[in-house]
Amino acid sequence: MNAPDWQAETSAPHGLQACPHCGKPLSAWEQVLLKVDRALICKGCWRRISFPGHDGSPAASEPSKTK
Amino acid sequence: MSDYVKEIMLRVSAKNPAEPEFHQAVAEVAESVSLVYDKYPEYRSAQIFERLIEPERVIMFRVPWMDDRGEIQINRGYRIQMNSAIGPYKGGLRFHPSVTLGVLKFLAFEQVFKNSLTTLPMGGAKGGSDFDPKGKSDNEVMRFCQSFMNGLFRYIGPDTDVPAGDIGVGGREIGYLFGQYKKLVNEFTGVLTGKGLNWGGSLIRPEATGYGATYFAAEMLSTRGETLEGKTCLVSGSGNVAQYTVEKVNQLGGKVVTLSDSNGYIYDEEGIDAKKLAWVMELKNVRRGRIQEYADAFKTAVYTPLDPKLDHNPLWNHKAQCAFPSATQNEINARDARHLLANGVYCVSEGANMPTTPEGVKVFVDAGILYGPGKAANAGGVATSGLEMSQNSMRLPWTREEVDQRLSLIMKSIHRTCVETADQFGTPGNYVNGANIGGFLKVANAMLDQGLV
Amino acid sequence: MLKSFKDVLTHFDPSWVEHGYGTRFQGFQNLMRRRIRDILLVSSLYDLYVFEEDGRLYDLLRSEYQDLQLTNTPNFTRVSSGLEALALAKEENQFDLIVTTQHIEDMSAVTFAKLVRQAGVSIPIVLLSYDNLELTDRFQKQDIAPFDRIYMWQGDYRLWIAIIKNLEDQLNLDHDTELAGVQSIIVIEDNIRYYSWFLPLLYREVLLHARRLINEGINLSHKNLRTRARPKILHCISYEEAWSYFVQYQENVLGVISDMDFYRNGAVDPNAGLEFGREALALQPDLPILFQSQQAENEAKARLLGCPFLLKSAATFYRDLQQFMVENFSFGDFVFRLPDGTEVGRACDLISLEEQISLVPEESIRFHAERNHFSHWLKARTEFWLAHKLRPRQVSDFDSIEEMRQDLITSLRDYRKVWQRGLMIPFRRETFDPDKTFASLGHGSIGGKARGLSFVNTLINNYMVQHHFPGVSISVPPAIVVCTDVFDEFLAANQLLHFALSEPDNREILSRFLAAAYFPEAILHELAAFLDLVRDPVAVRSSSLLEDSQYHPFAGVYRTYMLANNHPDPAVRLAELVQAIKRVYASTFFTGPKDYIKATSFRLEEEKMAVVIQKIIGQRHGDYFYPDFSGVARSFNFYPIPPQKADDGLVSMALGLGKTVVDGGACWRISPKHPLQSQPYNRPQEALNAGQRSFYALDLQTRFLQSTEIKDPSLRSLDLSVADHDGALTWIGSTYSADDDRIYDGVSRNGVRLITFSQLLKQNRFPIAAIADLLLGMGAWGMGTPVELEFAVNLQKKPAEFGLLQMRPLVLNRENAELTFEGYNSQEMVCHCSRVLGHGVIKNIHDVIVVDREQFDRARTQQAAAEISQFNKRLLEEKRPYLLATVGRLGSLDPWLGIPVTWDQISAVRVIVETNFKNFNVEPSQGSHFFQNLVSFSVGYFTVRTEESADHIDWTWLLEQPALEKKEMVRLLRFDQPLLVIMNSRENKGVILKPGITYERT
Repeated sequence: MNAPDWQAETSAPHGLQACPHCGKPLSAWEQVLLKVDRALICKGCWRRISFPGHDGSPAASEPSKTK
Repeated sequence: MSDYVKEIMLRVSAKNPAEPEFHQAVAEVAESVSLVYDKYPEYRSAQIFERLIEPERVIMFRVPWMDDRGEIQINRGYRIQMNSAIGPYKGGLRFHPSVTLGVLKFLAFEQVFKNSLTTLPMGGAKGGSDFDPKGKSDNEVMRFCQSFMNGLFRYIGPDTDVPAGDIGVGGREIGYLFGQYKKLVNEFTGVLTGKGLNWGGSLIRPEATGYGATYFAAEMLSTRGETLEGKTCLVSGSGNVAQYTVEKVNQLGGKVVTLSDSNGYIYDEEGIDAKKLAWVMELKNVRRGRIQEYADAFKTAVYTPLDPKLDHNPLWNHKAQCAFPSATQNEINARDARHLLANGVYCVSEGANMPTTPEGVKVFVDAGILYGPGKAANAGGVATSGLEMSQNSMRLPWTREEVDQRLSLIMKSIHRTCVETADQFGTPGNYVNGANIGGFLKVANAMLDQGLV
Repeated sequence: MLKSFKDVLTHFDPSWVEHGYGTRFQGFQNLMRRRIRDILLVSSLYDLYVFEEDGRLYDLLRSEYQDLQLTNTPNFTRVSSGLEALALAKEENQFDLIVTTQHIEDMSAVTFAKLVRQAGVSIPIVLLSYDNLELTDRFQKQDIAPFDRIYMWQGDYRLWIAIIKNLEDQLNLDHDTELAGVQSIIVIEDNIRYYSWFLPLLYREVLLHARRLINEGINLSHKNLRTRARPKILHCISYEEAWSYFVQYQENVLGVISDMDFYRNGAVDPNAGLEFGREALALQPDLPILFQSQQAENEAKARLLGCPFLLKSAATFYRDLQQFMVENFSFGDFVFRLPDGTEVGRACDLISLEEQISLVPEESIRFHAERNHFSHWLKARTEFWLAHKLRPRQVSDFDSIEEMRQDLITSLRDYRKVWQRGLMIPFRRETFDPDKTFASLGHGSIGGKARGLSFVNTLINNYMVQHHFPGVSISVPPAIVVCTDVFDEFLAANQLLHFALSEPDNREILSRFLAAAYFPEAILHELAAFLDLVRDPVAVRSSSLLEDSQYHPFAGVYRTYMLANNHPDPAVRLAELVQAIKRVYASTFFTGPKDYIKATSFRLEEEKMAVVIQKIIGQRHGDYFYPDFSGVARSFNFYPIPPQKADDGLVSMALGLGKTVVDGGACWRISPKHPLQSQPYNRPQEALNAGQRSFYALDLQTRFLQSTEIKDPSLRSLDLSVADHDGALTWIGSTYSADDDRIYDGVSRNGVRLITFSQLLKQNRFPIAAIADLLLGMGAWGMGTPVELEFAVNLQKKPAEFGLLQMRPLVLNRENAELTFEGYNSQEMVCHCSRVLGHGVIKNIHDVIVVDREQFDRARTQQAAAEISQFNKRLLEEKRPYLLATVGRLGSLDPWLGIPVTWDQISAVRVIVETNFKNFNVEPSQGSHFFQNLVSFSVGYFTVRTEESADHIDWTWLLEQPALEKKEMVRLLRFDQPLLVIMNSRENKGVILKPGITYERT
């Protein structure tokens, strides 16, 4: 049996590991949701996290609609 | 018991409160030692006993290590170097959260006499830590062992103190400890026993206790001009000790008719020969099955399940000449002892630790049969540590046969010590006294010789 | 900021293109974000009366919305004075739109609008005029400036929809076009009366078209969301406005509907339309343009450009408009034509499009491809991803039309595969891909298990989980489902229902079912077709209606049968499959399920059985077939050993088929967050004793048809040595050396093998912990509760295969989930403890075996063990569960530290309480010696450490109680009322309450 020639990579390429507002760590699944939906509501502070731009700019955020 | 000794016991209780296991260990020795004191006052004036119950040295040290999450953990390490009168300190290391100074002290105390009895040059010690290996990853255990050795290495050495394994310290831990020692000291020596076969360990380790108990029985029988040839033997348990007892009994011409486990026992009138033994080994060691299956596989056998309501163990109620209790503590009570006698058993060699209750022992001793207490009969296991040390010093590993032979010689020596000592103190044939006093005397005499240190 | 669609075209970011629009409904959710939800209506009461059509406006709108399957009916707030409206408008964020009439109490509409603007409020303002005489057909610029739009009320409440939707289209235009390339229709019309009539019509058409698309065979969940991607309508009233839209959104303009004369350069230009058309066609020659006008002579102008023309007053106007839209806006079938106009084929959906492309003549392909007709058509159907993929194909890109044709077909087919990956579709031989598809046979329900699998399958595909881990492919193994109607038909035609319901003997039921002659013919054909495509081993599994109920997961109640599926004669394979199905049907009525259902609120008559036939994950090893390992992952761990936490979950794994783990056999357990943490054993021997010694495999030689047993005849239990011989232990095995009393990683040395997953975990050969963590997170998110999933893994394949075999909710009874200890005082408690393993409420313990702390002698623990064992035997015979309260460690190796019992000696225990000695602090065992059994039998375990924590145990009370039976050191207590035990493993806390205290949930 040959040894494996790869390393398991588990987070998104520009993986966001925690909420940029409150610092609450994102679970593996939340990272997937963020990468695919391009937006996620943080369960710690209830603000929206946007997926960062491909130029690596930090995640934009919008306060949730007050109405 | 002499008044003097009683007085010592009181003092021990007072100085070491809340350590009943230590009291009991001391009391046991004290019982036999009474006889010595009564006969030979020089031990009393040298205050041998008072000195014995104080460890020569106690080392306590900090063991800090980092777990897999990067967090710092702190444990405490101990080494109680109890007595080195007849050889370098020798005794196991125990990693268990229940480890305290008190626990180790009683273990170290017992170790002195166990080791002495083997007739090998080994002192007594015990050590360990309150580290709990359960649930830790391999790397965490390794880091702990390395840190532990960092604290201990200054105080051990092949001619100083040779630790071994115990609860929580198995082959893996010995490996890590040894690796770190070698790195620190830059020497390859026999500083630990229980090493891997590839790097200094000794053969016959799993077999030692079982073989030893059998050799001891053979020696006991020889005092009556008999051998194990043709003898029917009852063996309890089915682990290493029992398995290798059966093997050696078979080799010496005897026949074993019983084996047991926690669910029940089998009785095979035909005897458990080499082929059946191989089957049992596969069952127990590989398949981890129950002894009940023996009765399914071999139609000559009868299986009886354990009945906790009974006040005796029916395994000991069969016709035989020899008995080898090799399962656990307190498996032979007074009633069992009487059954054994009634069935013709006159040679009992204990492979387990304290398998006979004090009442049972009394029955055996009063009946004057050949009763080899575990302390002496199961010293084979302890002896192999010594044999490992010998091989290390020689830098030459022995073959199986060589180790086996040495073991046999050691058991003979132990036996001789017991017999001679028992004679000397007016209780001929009493192996209990012989073992207790024999172990004690060797140490005491050496202490007398070596001055007040 | 999001990348623009244009950038995507050039940079081809795989994550966007592969996935962004077409394959997941979530993408559509980002469209039409800005909505008109609250409308401020400024009008007189009479105006409102008019609008409301006797007070029914709101309801009419609602029903219109529902009819068009729109959501979010807006709210109206009506005021009658400008000042009041102004005040309200200034309140931030309250309104999305102001609609005003010309009959405001206190000012003119224009003044009002100006005031609103002056106040800095930028909400859109629409003027709704309902009197013809008030308006000229055109208006002066300065009048209309503050208004975003003016409409004329002509009695049709549908105008409101047009107003609202048009505004929404404007608000979302930029974003939606950039994000997805949503299409737009430019409408140029400056006649207020006309467009007030026309726009509602147009909107209705567009919305109906969108709705039609939805009903075409794709997943229902897309339905509402797809309407968001419908074409937008850009209403312009001047040339400049229209041109600027056109230039900006050129690629996404579906078409133009234009008047002929309208404002251009500040004045009305009779040829404005003509000019516009000319300019536009110059930029985009194939742009569909429809001209409409009051004047018939304008038709000639339209002809100049080759564009169609509609007379506004024509009787057939509506029908002609529809026709135009169908043909040119791709609102209908794709019509394949030759350059000369001859029709050569039609396609109404993606499948028929693919078919037609392979059939029609080359010239037709070239004709349509060059004009990007495929793209247009697809975009109009909101298939943006596919449209984009097919778009930049010039004929010159290919060596031949044939090649282009093949390329088109491949693109469509691949797209369809991507779609189907996430879906359950009806089984069709032509479209079934044995490596991927999920299909159903027959009608009726697919049942709980299949539904769960389908859901998981959708999640995996829509969230691109399949290749999330490099070198690993995560999927639900392909399967077909025989729906419940087949079950009904089978029972009815063979007259089995009554019999089965009443027959108590399982063997009787089985033999009758097996003997039943009738099996629906159509299904037989489809099964045969399936078997033609699938020649690998399959599992035939139950999927009943009641099976995925959130509170009764029915786990293990029904049967699964495995088929080797390798007989050379296809008729035999079919017979085996049918027999397996019948067996599953029969198992619906066995005593096990009957008893299970009795304990629920369901009735057996309600139960129907669908059957899942699924590929088994595994590899062939000689005559056997089994996966490298399989197991169960749970998102909640009732027995967390620190630093594990209950919410981390637990993964249990074993070599071979999953039956080992599911049946509660010996397996290896890891926490997904701490996979390298070792098992709770003290010595290597314990690991050997408690570990896996045998495994399950499928026997490929089984003669399935010959078996009459109830259990699965194909499963064999094999010894580890077989797997060792097969080389299957390389990554998951370790070796125990008796000589060294040590367990070595791997199988390179001689010795006894055991399963430890050591190299798999240490080298991360397969990221099982990370995969479990991700999927448990996904499952809990998707199902809204903790979940349990079954899986199997093939390491040998490239990429390694992770198969998800089942996902179901983890039952935490409502009671158990909300455990609380508040409200009990210490008098009521026998014990409270902060180191508890186990979870739930136990209410049926009347017996307590307690070690007498005062009488207990540490030197005689063996005696105590014997006494406990005797009590256990008694209570076992009397079938009474009990609580054991002991001193020191239980099961200890060292008799000085506690009572050395074995599990057999306490087998009837339900809750164990370990406490300290009086003056000797013993580190508790945390149940290590019995861990496997604790977990298997759900025994609660309290470790009370009074010295180190606030734990407490009421020894006084315990020892005061009269004993039913007393031995030297141990007593048996019995109470009339039960003790109440509450354990919360999330917090590791627990209490034991005295008899008679009841459990109250706060």
